[in-house]
Amino acid sequence: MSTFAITNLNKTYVRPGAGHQVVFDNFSLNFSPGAITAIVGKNGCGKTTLLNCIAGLTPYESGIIHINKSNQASAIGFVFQNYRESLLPWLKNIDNITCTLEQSNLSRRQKYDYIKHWASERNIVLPWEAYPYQCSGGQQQLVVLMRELINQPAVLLLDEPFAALDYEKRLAWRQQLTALWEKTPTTIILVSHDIEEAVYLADEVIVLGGSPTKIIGRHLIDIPRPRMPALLSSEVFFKSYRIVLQSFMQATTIL
Amino acid sequence: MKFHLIGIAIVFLFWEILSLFVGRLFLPSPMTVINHLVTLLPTPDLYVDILATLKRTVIGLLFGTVSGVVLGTLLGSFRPLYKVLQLPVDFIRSIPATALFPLFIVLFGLGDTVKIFVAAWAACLIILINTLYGLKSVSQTRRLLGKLKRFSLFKTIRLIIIPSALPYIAAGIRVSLSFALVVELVAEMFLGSNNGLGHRIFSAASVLAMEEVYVGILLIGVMGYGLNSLMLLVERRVIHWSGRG
Repeated sequence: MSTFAITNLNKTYVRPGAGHQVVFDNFSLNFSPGAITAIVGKNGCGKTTLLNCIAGLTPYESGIIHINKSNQASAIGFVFQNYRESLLPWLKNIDNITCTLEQSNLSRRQKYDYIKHWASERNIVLPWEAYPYQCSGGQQQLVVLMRELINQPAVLLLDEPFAALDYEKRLAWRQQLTALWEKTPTTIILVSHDIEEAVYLADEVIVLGGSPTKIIGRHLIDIPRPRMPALLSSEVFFKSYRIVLQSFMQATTIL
Repeated sequence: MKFHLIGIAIVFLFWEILSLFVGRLFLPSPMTVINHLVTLLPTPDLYVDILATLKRTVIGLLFGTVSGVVLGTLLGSFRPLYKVLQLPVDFIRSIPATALFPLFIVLFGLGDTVKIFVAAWAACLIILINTLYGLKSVSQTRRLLGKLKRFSLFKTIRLIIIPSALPYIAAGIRVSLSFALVVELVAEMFLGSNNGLGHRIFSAASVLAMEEVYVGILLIGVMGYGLNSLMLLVERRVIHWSGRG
């Protein structure tokens, strides 16, 4: 497993005419390798900026983001907030995965075989030859998740991927994510605005707040896996939920 | 199909009533026009005219599309170039192509070249703008995806930018299709043509052969409709994803 730490990150947004906004001022944070870490906090607390810095999509002034990649692990997986849009509708499902598959020494046919084999090992059934717009929302999610996990990334970043779904679909998504994660171990960082979701999915919930961003609380969620939706109404769950919620409330009062 | 037939019947009915008011001499009834068309069908001249107009319009469209996409891509890719040329392009776009005929005659004479050029000109200006919009419309998420997956420039263009811009370019081609046809017909009327549907209508009108005039108009309508349908068919195959999630 890989080690993963952020040290002394500095990031300032410069808005022409509107002055500077310091997002991170010597911000440090380390993640437990192989675990699911959820990051919660009110809007504008720098959650998404943090993910974008880790993924290399946003430049930052200084700091070290250390992702110790094991031999196999290579790129960073990233499920965007509007993950549906991250699919390319002009490519078939299988080609959506093929075009970002990193085994570039394989022929197209071998790539197809590799993807289908990888999927069948995880009991994933998808209409490979269909286009994303012909598929259900659940199938589109699976394609995105597969695309991000098949390269065995050292870290998988999830930016509120459940935000636009109704509650029932969200429950299904969570199970799909954890089931896949158990068969494809990696470090997951989940940005969420939903505390229930964060507690349910994560091994640790980090509450961010303030400006510049600070860590308000770190809470280990000591609930055994596999976790099932029935857990949501249990005392154990509420105990953790309450602690995180209090921390979150505290964060919203800090400026 | 049933609805199409009803639609055509309504148009013919309206035409019939209108011709009663205007006078049969100036607006012949639809049946007279169709009868005249039938008598013209065995004459080879008719096909010469149809093909001449069709050929010049389609070739003009092809040139217009290629140059519009190329210019639009250049303007869309180089910000300073866009800033410099934005005003001239918008200015030139506001000038009706027909108003520039005197200039075009000086440049290209009165042959086929000038009549292909006017269609290309009209199409190019529309497709240029649509290409620009298409390039601007590439979704931020998909750009980020390319960056995250470290796509090469070539791969980004091939997999993300071109497919994103295609629906806009296709819409541009469909709009310019009717524009090119209009400009083409006017060119055939006024730029000393000796064939084409525009020429046929114009010379028939000058001797008040109104049945002949309306046969020409009918045929132009059919041609425009046919080209549009063909384009829709191509669109449905090539950009099948467009407008669907």
